[in-house]
Amino acid sequence: MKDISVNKNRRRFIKNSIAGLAGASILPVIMKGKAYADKPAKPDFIYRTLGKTGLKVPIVSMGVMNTLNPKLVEAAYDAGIVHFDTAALYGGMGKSETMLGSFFKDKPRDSFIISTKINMPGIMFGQLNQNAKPQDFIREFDKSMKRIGLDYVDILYLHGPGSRDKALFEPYFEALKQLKKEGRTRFIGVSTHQGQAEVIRAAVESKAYDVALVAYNSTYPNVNEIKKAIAEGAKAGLGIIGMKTVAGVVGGGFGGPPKNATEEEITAAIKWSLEDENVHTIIPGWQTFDHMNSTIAVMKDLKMTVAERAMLEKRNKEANLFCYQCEECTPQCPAEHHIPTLMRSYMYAYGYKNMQMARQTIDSMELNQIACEDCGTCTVKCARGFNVKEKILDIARLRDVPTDFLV
Amino acid sequence: MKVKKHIFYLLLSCFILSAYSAAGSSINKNIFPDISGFPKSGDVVTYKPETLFEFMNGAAELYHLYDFAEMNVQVYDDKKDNTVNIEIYDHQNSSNAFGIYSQERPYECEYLSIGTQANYMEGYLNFYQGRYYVKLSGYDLGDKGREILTAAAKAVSEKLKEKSSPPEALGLFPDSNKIKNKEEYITKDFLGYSYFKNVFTASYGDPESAYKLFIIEAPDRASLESSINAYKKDIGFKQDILKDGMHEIEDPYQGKLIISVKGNYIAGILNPDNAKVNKDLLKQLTSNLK
Repeated sequence: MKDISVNKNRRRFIKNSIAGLAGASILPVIMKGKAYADKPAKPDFIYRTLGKTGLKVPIVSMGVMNTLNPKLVEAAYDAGIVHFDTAALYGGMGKSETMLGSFFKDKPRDSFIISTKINMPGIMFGQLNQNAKPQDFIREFDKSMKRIGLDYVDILYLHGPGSRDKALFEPYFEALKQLKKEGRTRFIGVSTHQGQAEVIRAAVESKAYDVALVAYNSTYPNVNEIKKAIAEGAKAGLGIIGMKTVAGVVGGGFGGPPKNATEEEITAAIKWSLEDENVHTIIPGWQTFDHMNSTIAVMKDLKMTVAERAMLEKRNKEANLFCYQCEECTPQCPAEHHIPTLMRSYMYAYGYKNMQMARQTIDSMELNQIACEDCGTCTVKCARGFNVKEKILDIARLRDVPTDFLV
Repeated sequence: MKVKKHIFYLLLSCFILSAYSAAGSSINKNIFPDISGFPKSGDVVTYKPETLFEFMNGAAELYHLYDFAEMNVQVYDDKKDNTVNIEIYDHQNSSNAFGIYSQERPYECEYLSIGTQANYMEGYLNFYQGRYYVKLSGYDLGDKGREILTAAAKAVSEKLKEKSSPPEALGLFPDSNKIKNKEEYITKDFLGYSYFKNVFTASYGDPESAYKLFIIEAPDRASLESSINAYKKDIGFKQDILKDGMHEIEDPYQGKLIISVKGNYIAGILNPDNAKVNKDLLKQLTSNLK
């Protein structure tokens, strides 16, 4: 028996916490011509249509990757959040899926949108398994559905491909289409953290993917290319969902390990991603009620202030100096230059302003010649999206400076 | 005097360097055993906090909450599309290793005596031992999966020179009515509040309607009082929680809680169902705290 007084109390608390956002409304949210049952639209929420899916969603959704606390999900649901994103990987062995399924089992099925992702060998990293079959993917999906306990999910993603080949890898792509045809998922999508532009374009090319879940924040060195691809995707009817939108300021993802960020910086990062109207919703993974409330409150005023832009600009500059030394580029360089060392030299010069250290680092490589000068189009694909050739040619100039001049 | 000062700084530097080295890479690359019928495929790959994301995407966020320092992974391949992965994660201390293990422990699984504790479910075997969390997975291994992974896990466990005892805090929870293997360690944001950190929990009662006992350890009394005050402000609670005794609280998000404070600890029950039984348990838990 649910304790109604507690529930009322919590609802009142949420209402007070999200000042100006809550409030009674009888306007229904249209979902493919149908209202979300028991889910009145929030007058101060901003809604966008998720591409060709036709789903109308608040621009803030909930990523359920950082918490197994059902009370946070309940608070978000009560506050008007509609879309909840999980994955087979989250919480380890699908505990996030289990928790979400358990929470939603007695909720009206059309009052929420649930999405999950299936990770298959060779997709996020490593080589594709050329003997893979659609059934391999379906078997993993069956496990997810057993955990979630619903008849269908709303969006099913292939989790984490970073290239066109992986996004369109036939066995898994066929499985996705089959599951959609069978009604076990309403829509299919692809999630991507690396090579975002290429993957979005592959999704458009496929004519079958409905949604792209894209890592997107202002600190990515190739952000303009991603932005352009997002616009192309949205124009072609893809639903675009942003993720890692605050990773540039709080760390995590390709934003590196966790770092301290102010509430203002987090708000600025969220606004930055949402001011792009081609981004239909985002999935921040809050862990506290405070973060939930402040993220939802962003919908009151999306306009970025000058101070917020300045804060992000500072973070962007820091991020553009920092190579994570992941070594993914190392086997790619035809001249076999050890690129991470060159990137470290670049970081010493521009990040730490230590020219001596930068020079020592580059000298330690004992290179007779920097091959980039004569190499045609650079084929190296940096995991962070750096223009590697440009940075190497820039830092290589340091070799011409007499060491006496380096202080 | 100057010489002494130099020696002091030299020793200090050596100390810092050795401490740094101890906190850095600690996983011996030779720890990965041979598995019959599954030759090693490629070299050991190392992931650091900056790059873990490339290995597991958004799931990496959880590992960062438990001070993830390094992970080494070895892939094995029988050349018939069947693979085994062994991943060894260094979380810097045993509480963190237990914490991440407890977060990823499946709701239903088989428990094995490997490391401090291991669990097995459908081609996945995880265990923790000292500061390490070890995950083994087999893809398409069929019925042999359990046997292959168990043997490999035992081999890794033997090579890890770490004690196999659980965190001491788990011993503080009363045994009566406790549900086995449901203890957890949560480093931050307990109950959805940013100021509640470093929390051990255990579940009690009927698994279908379990209630939780918890212990929050603050670094000092001032931090504890600051957390309590922030919590009272957030939930609009007026009474003095810091004084001795048990305090019943109506949390607007969580529902009912009973808590008591002792030294740098907050002990509590979440979702109590039977006031008398619950209070007896909390009393016992509180008395176990130093």
